[in-house]
Parts: sequence; structure tokens; C-alpha cells
Amino acid sequence: MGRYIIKRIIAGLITMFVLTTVTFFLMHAIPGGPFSPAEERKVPKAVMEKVQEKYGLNDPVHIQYVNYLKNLAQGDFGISFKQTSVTVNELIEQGFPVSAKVGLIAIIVALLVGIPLGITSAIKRGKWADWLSMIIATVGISIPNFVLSVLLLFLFAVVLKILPTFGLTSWQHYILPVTCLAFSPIAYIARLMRSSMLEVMRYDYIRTARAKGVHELQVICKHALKNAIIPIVTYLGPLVAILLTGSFVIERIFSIPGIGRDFVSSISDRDYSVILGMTVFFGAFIVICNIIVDILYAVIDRRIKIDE
Amino acid sequence: MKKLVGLFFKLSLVAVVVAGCSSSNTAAPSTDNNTNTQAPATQQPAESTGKEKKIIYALPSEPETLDPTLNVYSRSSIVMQNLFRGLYKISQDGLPVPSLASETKLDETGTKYTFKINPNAKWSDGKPVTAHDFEYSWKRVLNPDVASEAAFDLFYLKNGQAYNEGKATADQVGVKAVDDQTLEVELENPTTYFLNLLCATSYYPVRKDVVDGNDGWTKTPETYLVTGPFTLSEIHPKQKYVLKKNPNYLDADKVQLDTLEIVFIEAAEAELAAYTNGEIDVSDNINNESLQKYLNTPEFFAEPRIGTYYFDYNTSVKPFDDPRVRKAFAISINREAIVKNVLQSNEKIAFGFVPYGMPDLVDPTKEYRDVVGDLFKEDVAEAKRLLAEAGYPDGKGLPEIEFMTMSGNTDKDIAQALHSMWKENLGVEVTINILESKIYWDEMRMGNFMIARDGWTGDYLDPMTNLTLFETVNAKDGPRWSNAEYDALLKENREIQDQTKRAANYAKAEQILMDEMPVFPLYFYQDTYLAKPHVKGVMKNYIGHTYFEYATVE
Repeated sequence: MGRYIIKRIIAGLITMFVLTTVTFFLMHAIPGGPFSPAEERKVPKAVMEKVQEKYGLNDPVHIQYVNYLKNLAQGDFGISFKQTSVTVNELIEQGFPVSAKVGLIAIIVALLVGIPLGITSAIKRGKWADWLSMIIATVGISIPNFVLSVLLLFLFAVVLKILPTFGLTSWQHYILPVTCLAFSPIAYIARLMRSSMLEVMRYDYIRTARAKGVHELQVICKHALKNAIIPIVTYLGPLVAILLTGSFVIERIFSIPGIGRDFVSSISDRDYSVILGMTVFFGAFIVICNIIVDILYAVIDRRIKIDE
Repeated sequence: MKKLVGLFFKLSLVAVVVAGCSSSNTAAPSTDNNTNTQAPATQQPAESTGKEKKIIYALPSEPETLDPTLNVYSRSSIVMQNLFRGLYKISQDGLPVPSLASETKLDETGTKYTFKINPNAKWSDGKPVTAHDFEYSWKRVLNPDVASEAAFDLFYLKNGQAYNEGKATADQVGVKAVDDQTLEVELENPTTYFLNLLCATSYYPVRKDVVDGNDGWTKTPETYLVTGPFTLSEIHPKQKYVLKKNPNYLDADKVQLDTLEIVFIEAAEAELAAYTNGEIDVSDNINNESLQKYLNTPEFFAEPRIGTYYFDYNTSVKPFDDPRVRKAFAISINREAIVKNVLQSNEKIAFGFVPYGMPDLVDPTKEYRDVVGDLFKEDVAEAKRLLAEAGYPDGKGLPEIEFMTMSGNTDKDIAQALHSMWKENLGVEVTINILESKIYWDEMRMGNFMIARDGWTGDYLDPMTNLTLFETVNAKDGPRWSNAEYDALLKENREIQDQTKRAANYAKAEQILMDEMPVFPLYFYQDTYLAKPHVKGVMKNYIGHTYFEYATVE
């Protein structure tokens, strides 16, 4: 397994290098720059030139690229061009724990609700519980989270006045964003779990267990789940990466100080260092999550030999 | 590990059983939640019943900078206008009045000011504010090594621009602290609105001992020394700033608020929800929904801002190189219908470029706009005649007209309305090109447009702030229009002090602008905001900055 992990880390580093390079040059190819004129900034060209020079933006792109890589090698993502007193490292240090906390709660909620929902649906196949679970699952997948978030915001904050609308200062503040974040994964996990469970329940070893008189709860818990859960673990890798790194829509609607909205707004602001810093960070995070998922496969199911 | 996974599955199954229980079980906790969660939601708003006088105000996001010497942003200005004061400030009447300056003298040439700093003026740490602080700060703004975007604001100072461009030394800049209390300022030209400029953040002082060699001086309350009504007490990045009354502020006895909390809510719909829910007291990120909900309530306020929503013609390309075509397009639309039906608002429609909120130079109690009056009128028949006279009867023969606008909803809706009006009234088919803002401004700078949406809010109370946009040197990135007489009138107004003559010059220049029509105005900006009934004295200045110095809660 050690060799496999080293191989995956090397592959990950190559991926990161390609990702950084492609993002860097694509970013510079888009029209406009961090200090382009805007309605509120009709600053004379000579002044603008000085500002560009200070931040090294007048250098040829390949020089800027080399400089960036040098800084990156030292773990320095540079300063934000939009908020020049803040470094990208600070943005990540401040924002990531917030996004990760909300995301982690959403993942736990999604698993705690989605898995039982899928199992219920599978063992009660064709009955009302199955229909209900699948209706919830379908609705969850169909409703985009920006619609859901605005809907819940107005229902629970404006109409019912039982939940706060912005920030994360108390546990009540987590309810709406976590619900919105978890809703679609719940649906997806429930559907995955249902189909996977139905398949596993048809296997001979389950029939054998039942024939031996093992209690149904034990059959599901001890025998069926172990195999049925593998697709969920596969789904969990990218889900963890997506939810822990923040959602632009949810963070924007609920004013969550995470990194999800920084990433998206940095693109419209042409905040080069933030775009790159966040891309590298997200990229590394996804690579790591995928490696962990691969290792988890082997832990959960000994039949999978990752060295091969 | 296997055991852990197994335990998790078992827990999941337990959750199934719990979830499968009767609905009364799930309803019960939710009822409990009602009582539990309502409290924080309603406890958060201004504590008008408690002893502390506190207002919660929302901004869309954190200020771009907290360093006044680097600031060119509106949002940052709002925060800093509550933290800093300079030599002058904007009074409740909207006019510049002395703040940290106790005495102002102007020589007969109108180019040399001598300010006496109030001996009681203090920094938030209790040390006195001196003339040296101003000299240091103003030179910092202009310092080419600092590369402040705000440098342009201080080009009024003698050799200000030359220093910024490396053609003069810092010693040659027209600002000098004669002693701790005396600041001598020399200007390039007599600038009748200079005291007004002193109310902008770029003229505010910062202190050398905390700024020099410390790029992070704005990041902690300990080093963030200020001179204004509030101090920055807590910084919660991307969440909120807590401002506390500054006991060392010169006018501290008149500041009634104890705490001003600035929270950051990006989405307008979320801000409306927070305001309606009572979590914030003052809201100025007003969308159409907020407007419809609160427009006719006592919580809705609207103040004119010295800005104009307008459109640039590219006068360097056909057919807009012909003023008759430009005028035809400008007078064939219905501004009233656009403001009422598209914006669904009550902004004042524009038949001139200088906006409401700009006082008349001769009689400041009157509006410049009212004194000068409308400079053109809408007339479809006249528009058709002009178009025919230019060689395009009923729009025939016109090249394909491209109308460039930005991706905001309002911009897109206005573009659609103009498209219909031009088609109906002139028979002209216009292609709308919607671009993301950065690309948009780049295209405009490069001249790749025919008609483009634009807007501008001035910086000070003199029509120069609006009309200077169309001097040849500035118009080359916009309408690419040049008029020698227009340039001469504005140049003269920079050099003279006679306000009657200056007013006449502005009126004449604006008439030229509206006759030649390199741009056509649509409406004048206004600032709208909502304030809870218990909040009094919130002030918006003429640029749209929100001041809480005069605010209180009842």
C-alpha cells in the first residue's frame, strides 16, 4: 500500500502542476485585470500603471508565472489584489475552517439521513416508505440549492421568524445552510444506497445468512451493509471535497464567511492570486480526498487490493 | 476501523427507527425550536431597550481596504467615514465644515491655504493630531512607491502629480507642516471646492509610527489608530466589524451611539430578510423586492447622489460621429417610462448631465439643476427629422447598431426597453451585447462599442466633478469626443474664483455637451436605504456614504 500511496502522491503533484499552469495562463488570457477601470474607478492611466508595476503585473506573463511558482514552492500564495492588505494564505486560513465546519456537518447529516432513507426504501421496496423516500430523493436532486436556500430563508426567517438569516454565531445559524447543503447529497445517497442494497440483498450469502436464522437486523447490519456501502464511499470522496471547500451560493445567501464565495468572486474580480491560490488549494484537497477514498476501499472491503 | 464503520451503520439504522416513529415526536422538538430559536433572532436587533445605544448596519462585503491613503472604493469609504476625520467633514446639512481644523486662511491668489489644527484633536490612543500627520499622509498618497490609486485625488496639490510621476521630489509637494499646529497647503490652481475635497478619505491622516514598515497596521484594532467618531474595536473577517464610540474624538460629546456593528451580507434578498426579521437596523442594499415592500413606509429614505446613469456613444465610429444621429437616439426614448416601469423606482429623470444634489454655485440653497434647467427634451418627431437629415430616413441606411451593456438585471432590462423604444420610434434595430463587467470596461477602453452603458458619481460639490469626464484628456477612454470650447470653459473654471462666472461657464459647457451629445443621460442616481423607526439621524452624504456620527436610537 505504501508504494501505491507514493505513486498516487506523485501523480497528484503532477496534476497540481498542470492545474496551476493551465489556470495561470487561462486566467491571464481572459480580458480585464484586477485593476481594470470600473464605474467607480476612473483612475488615470499613469496612476494605474504605477499600481500594476507595484504588483508585478507589468512583467511579461512568463516572468509572472516563474515568480508565482517560486513563491508557491515556499507556500506563499501572494496577496489578494482586491483586498491588498490580506494574503491569500490568510483568506484560506480564515475561510477554510468555516466552510469545512459547515460542510462537515452537512456531510454527517447527509449520511445520517441518506443511508437510513436508502435502506428503508430498499427493505420496504414497493411500499409507501419506499415511495416516500424516493419522492424525497427526487425532489432533493431536482431543486437547485439556490432556490431551496431562498425559499427556506423566507419561510423560516421572514415568515415564521424562528431562525436567523445570516452569519454563524449560534447553533441556530447552522440549521438553514446545513439543510440546504445536505439536501441534494441526502437524495443522492438515498438513491445510491437503495439500488446498492437491493443488489446486495439478492446475493447468495445473504440468503444463506437468513437460512441460518440470523436476525434480519443483523443480516442488514452485519452482512449486507458492508458491501452495499461501497458506492457511497466512492461518492463520499468528491462530496467531501465539494462540501468542505464551501458553496458559493449557500455562503452568499447565508453570509457565511467561508472560502466558497471568495473563489467565485475572485474570478469576476480577476483577483489573480486568489484564483490561483484557491485553485491550488481545492485541487490539492480533491487529490487528497481521492487518495483517502481509495485507501478506505481496502479497509472496508478486503477483496479490493489497491496495490494491484 | 471496521468496527467504527460498523458502529456508524448501526447508528444509521437507529436513526431509521427514530425517523420511523410517529410524527408527533418530530413535531414536538420543532415546537420547542420555535421558542428556542426565536430568542436569538429577535435578541440581535438594536438594543433600543437596553442602556447601550447600538445600531447594526449591513454592507455587502468587507471593505477593500481600511487604509484611507490607499482608498478609491465606495464601500471602504463608508466604513472609514465613520472611523476617520480630516481637516473638514460633511455636516448634517451636507456642506463641508471644519473638523480637525480650527482655523482656515486662504490667500488672495486662492492657491495657498493655511490650516491651524485644533489643539484638542487627538488620535484614538490619546496622542495629539499634528500638522505633521497630514503632511506625512498626503505625501504617502502621492508617493510613487506606495502606488496608491487615490493619488489622483491629490493632484490638486502643487507638484502632486509631478511627484507621483517621479518628476519632482516629496519636498516640492505643496503641503508642509510649519509646526505641530500649522499646515500650509499650496495648490496648482485656485480650487474653490478644495475644502470639499478635504472631506474625502484620501485627505484623512494616518500616523507614521504605526504605518511605516507595517503593512498589516489595518488588521488589528491595536495598531488601527483613527481620528473619527468611532474606533475599530473588533474585526471578524468577512462577518462583521464592531465599532465603538471614540472617547478621544474631537466632537465625542455629540456622538450618541455607543456601538456601530457593521455586518457583511452579500445577497440583497438575504439583507431584506435580515432587515425584515429585525436582525439589522439599517439596510441600503435595496433590491426591487425591498423597494416594493418598503417604498411607501416611513422606514424608506431616499437621498440624491451626485451621479448620473448615462450612455456613451462612440463618436469615432459611424453613424455616431454625427451629432444629429446621437441626438435622435437620445430624444426618441421615454425616460419616465423606463424609471417607472423598468426600475419601478422614483429616481429623477435626466435632461442634463449635472445631477441633483449639486448646489448652485451662486446661491447654494438652490439646486444647480433647477437653476440651469433642462437642456433638451424628448421629441420623437424631432428625432425622426434629425435622423432623416443625417441621411437615415426611418433608420434606413444605418449600419448595424450594437448596444453594449453589463450583465446586471437592471442594465439588461433597461437595454431591452431602449431596444423597443428605438425600434418603435425610429425604426432602428439595435443588437444588445451583454458583457461581464471586466470585459465590458476593457471593450470600452479599446473603443469596441457603438453605444455603451455608463455611470458616474462625483466626488465633491462642484459641477467639475461630473463635467470633467468629457474633457478631451478624459473622454478618450469613453465617448472619444473632443470640443475645444468645452475644454477651455472647464480650464478657465479651474483658474478663477468668481463663482458667478464659474456658474455661467458650467452652464455653457453643459449646454455644449447636451447639444453635441457624446453621451446621453437617463436618470440621476439616488441613494435609498431602510432604517427601523427607532433609528434616527442616519445620514447619507452626496456620494452615498452612510454616516452614523449624528445617529441615535430611541
